[in-house]
Amino acid sequence: MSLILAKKIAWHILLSQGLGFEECRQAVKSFYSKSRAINDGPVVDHLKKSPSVYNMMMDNSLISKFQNSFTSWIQKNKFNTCSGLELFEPDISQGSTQSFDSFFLRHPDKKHKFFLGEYLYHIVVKKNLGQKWSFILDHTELSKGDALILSVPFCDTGNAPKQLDQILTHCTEQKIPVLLDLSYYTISHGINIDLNFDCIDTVSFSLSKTFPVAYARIGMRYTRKESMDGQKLHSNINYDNRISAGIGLHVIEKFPSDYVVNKYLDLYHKVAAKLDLDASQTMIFADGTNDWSSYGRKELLTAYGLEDDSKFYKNRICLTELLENKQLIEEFLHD
Amino acid sequence: MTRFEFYFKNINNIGAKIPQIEIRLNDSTIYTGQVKNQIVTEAMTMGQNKLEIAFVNKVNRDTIVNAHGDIVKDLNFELDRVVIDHRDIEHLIWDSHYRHAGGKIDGCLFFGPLGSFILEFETPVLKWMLKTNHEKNNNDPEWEEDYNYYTEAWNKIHKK
Repeated sequence: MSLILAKKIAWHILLSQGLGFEECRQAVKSFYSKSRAINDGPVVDHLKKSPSVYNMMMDNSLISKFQNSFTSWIQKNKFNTCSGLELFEPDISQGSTQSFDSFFLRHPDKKHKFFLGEYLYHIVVKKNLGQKWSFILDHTELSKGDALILSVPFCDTGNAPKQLDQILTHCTEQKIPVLLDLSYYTISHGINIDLNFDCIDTVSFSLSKTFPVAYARIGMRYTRKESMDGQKLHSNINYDNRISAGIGLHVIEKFPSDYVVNKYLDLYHKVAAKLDLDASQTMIFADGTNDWSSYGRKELLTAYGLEDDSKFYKNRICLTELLENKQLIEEFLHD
Repeated sequence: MTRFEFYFKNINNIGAKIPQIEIRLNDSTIYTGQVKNQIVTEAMTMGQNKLEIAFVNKVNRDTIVNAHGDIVKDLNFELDRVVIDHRDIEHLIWDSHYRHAGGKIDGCLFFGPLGSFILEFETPVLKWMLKTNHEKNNNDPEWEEDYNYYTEAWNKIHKK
């Protein structure tokens, strides 16, 4: 019943966007499998008033202003905490992706490990580069010579990984460098991360899931003061993408890091309950039963040649499109 | 009212004589006149419909042959596309026949001899297309479910 309602809503939203029957039919298949930011009206309006490209490019202080503002912006979040961020040095990143690539480059001889269900980018990159990698189910499968990338909240569930502190303790003992991918941090709640573990090599944030700025590739990487690579070199010589920084600064100066959760949390829970989905700690994701198997990331996995792994993934359902159609969704909620 | 768009091509006159047609829907005339590249008209449909495009002004002397009996000039034209309610019926246009004095030709869009192109279709035309395609190819078992979602959403949006 809930899946039928979900399909009705999807058809309604897509048809309202002016798509024809066949286009809707195609789009319905991937309607719930995305992971994009909510196109929030006030944010979109504000983005339309972004500073001029020329002014951003010519502003020599823009990168440092953005880096400094970003740290305090993250630390003021009312729903989550990450203690120890001050132990790290920020440098702007082209989304989180550049941080991942830099991590791969700095640890080329390590075997990179990911918990099952992790962000598909890593797997696709590792497979195509023919580099050592593997999935793991438990932190005891991590040993010296490995490197770990871990999303918090976890990519497949939207929830904080179980036993995060045990994982980080184990990695510290085994001298395993860890990249914590906090891309969903600013659209989640109840996430408390202790960054005081020596194994933590990199902490990455992104604005792509928080605000509709994914195509501006705005992220922030935090690394240890002593670490050095190409990304940090460019940061040190002030040779970074000022347009990304300018747009990022423009948006975080106006909207706090808990804006999305503050605004959408109630609606998110109502929608998840109505569709019989298990709510997660991340605003745009909820977990579906097996009935939803065609609507999770299955198609994406197939597109990436990873169909064999699909049975291990949760049916992660993305509610972004529903949250950004509040008025319509409330009609369905009351039907 | 249902909107019909007919697209014709390769329209060949004989001197000043232009092919003339009569389009009938369920035996009621909905267009009479010259063949043009595009003809748009509206008519009331029923569930089951018979569309007929009759070539009405061809006579024997409109086909000119040389000493070897080869046709050198002819009054003729071709039907290219039929669009019903903004939906191109695409390959289903070939599920038709051309009836003329000499008999019936299946899937013929060429108007050579005096005669009529006849196509039977159902409305709503989208439902007919989905159903017919599935019956032919057995590759779209979800057509009816998706059609119903589409119709429900469309009605809800247009009721407002």
